[in-house]
Amino acid sequence: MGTLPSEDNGDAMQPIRSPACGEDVNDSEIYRKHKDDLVRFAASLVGSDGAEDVVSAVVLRTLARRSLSSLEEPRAYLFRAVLNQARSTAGRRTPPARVFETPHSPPPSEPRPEVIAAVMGLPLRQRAATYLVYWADLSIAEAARLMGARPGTVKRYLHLARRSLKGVLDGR
Amino acid sequence: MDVDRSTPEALAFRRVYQLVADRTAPARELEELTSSTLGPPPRSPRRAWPAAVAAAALVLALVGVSTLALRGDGQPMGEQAGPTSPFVVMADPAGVLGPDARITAKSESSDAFADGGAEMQMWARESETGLEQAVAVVTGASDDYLSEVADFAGPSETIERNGVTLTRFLPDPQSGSETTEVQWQGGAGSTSLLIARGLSDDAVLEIAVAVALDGTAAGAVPDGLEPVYDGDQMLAPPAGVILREVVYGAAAGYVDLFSFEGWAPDQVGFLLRSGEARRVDVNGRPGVLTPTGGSDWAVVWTDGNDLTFAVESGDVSTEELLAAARSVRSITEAEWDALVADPGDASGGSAAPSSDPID
Repeated sequence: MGTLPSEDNGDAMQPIRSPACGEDVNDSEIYRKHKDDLVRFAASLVGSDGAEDVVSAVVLRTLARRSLSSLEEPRAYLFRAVLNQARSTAGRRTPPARVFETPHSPPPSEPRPEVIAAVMGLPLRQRAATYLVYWADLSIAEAARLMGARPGTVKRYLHLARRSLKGVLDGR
Repeated sequence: MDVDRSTPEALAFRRVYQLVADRTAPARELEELTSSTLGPPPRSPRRAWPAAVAAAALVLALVGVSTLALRGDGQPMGEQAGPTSPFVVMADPAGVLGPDARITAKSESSDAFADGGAEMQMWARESETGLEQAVAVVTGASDDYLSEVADFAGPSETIERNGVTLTRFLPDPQSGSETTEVQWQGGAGSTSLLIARGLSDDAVLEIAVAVALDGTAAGAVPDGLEPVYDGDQMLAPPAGVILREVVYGAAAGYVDLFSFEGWAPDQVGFLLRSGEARRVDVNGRPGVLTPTGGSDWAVVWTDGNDLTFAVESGDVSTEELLAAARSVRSITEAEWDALVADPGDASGGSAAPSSDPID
């Protein structure tokens, strides 16, 4: 079960500084604190193979403009940026076969291939919402903040995603 | 409860995403990347491309703005006729996103709300900064349907007025909501929902009562608010919805074009919640321009019947987004089928079919 670090990890306490004043140390700390979460989040959106590219593009593009420590909420900013980058570069749907090519039959504990395909075939924002709420155990309000969406919008994404998956789980 | 995580669907999501996490390579390359980026410049050519992309993005954005500014001898792109067909593409994605614009995804899917549809009325008063006052009323919706579109996050109170029992949900400071929502039961087990911003409590309740008793808010809306949608907009009819989508991607950002057949803009209710939302004209049709989170904005408008169009973007200006919305054009059904069926377009093919607009 994945649990993302809570937001009380000091982001709000970090000083807001200009990009020019010694951003290296703080930027490195911020990046290291969130990188694994960002890569996993990206993997849920574009698949394992492309996750690092998405995150690297986001980090470099952000750093080209400003320091991470100058952001008021770097964690939320980076999550939203990863979501946008995934939409921009990979489209909204990821071919499931590329994500989960395996040389062996999945063990019984693993989801059925059609379930995996259904989840990874969901529109990108539905995947983001289900990942953050169901896997990362965030509240709807927290997920909404990371996605830059309203809680009601996240609720709708979850509803649509559950409905799509229900048909697959029921064998329809 | 915030959300039920014990359903079969929730458990399935957990298992799939656990699989994703298990098979995601450690971020060691990223660590090297960031170490080098924050210190010396990156050395790996493979990892250097995003930097070039980032640098190019500004140039492309400027090119896009210039292109838009010159188009049509200064005339707004909205002068052309709007689409009346559900098969739509962007007329000039390169003009908005830059010369590297390409289709990164396209799809067609159908959906249905078994619990039936609802109708919506909406009025608004604009200021220079956005929707100063606005009210939307959705009537005849089932509870299931409303659970999708309403927030209901804040505290609530029950109010009796003119024989009508109203539940008022107050703005929730924690969620950043600036709207008041009022809900009441209508006939045949249906529910009505009112969403308002910038209106006094009395005005909100008066509108709710008017709709509950008379079916229309027209006589109760304060002076100065103009109709955006006045009672003729169906939301999610039971016949179902066909959603068509084309995503255009480029280094400068992306534009997401939707066509909803059999769907009216229930999104407008969401749009009201943002003070930055404002009315726009899209080829003679009323539309709404609104932020959707992060750097994303959307334009939503209808053809007046059962077609709703939406253009969403990331990293392009609102002017460019509006220009994109006004330039959306119809193609034939055969062209649409060919577009969706062609796998090449999603991997770098042409950004739009080359046929002439049919409108």
